[in-house]
Amino acid sequence: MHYSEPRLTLDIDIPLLVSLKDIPTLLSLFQEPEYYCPPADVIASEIARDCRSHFNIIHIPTGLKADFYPGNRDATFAWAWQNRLTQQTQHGAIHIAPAEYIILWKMIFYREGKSEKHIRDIQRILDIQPILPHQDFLNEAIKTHALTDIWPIFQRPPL
Amino acid sequence: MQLEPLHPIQIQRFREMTFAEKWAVAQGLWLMARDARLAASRRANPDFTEEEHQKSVAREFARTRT
Repeated sequence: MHYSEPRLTLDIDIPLLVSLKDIPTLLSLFQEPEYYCPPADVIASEIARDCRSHFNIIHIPTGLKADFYPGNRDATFAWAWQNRLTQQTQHGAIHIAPAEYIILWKMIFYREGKSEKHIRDIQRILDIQPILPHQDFLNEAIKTHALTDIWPIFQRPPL
Repeated sequence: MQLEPLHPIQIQRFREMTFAEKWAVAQGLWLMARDARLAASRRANPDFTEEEHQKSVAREFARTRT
């Protein structure tokens, strides 16, 4: 949303660097009855995955959901953290992933699940920001992840 | 998939908007959606308490994908 139009969404994706010793902190931050948080062993098994780790935390009174993606072994996460955008809010600073990282992972998820929402999201980012500051990273990542054949799906002629 | 093009005025405005402005619009959309679902829940389940309506809509939102 930060790179495209403001829109209704009921969840937020949070890539993070997290280790087993951080689990008690997570559990203490997101406690019942306000939150659903998976048990410690589930979080631990997700963190231990070689790739595609994932767990959810839900704010029960509102139903809002955060999808957490531990990126401990992901080189693109390391790049995204180095190139993160920081915004100050009344609740403190928040970090936003670079647009190229979002586009890359939406392409990967599109290839796997064919969800058209990823096409929509990427096209909207490119509508608002046709010139990406880290286009070189994206070009290289598209090659590395063998996404060259689907990249044209996400592009359209300028308005 | 045919995505409706943004009007050039929209593109210009979205480029100018700060993070806080976009966040405020998104928050307003969420509140509007929640109010609409709460109203629907009240019509469909007049015997529910207000807390039950709130929980019902929260459960619905937790399952919804956007």
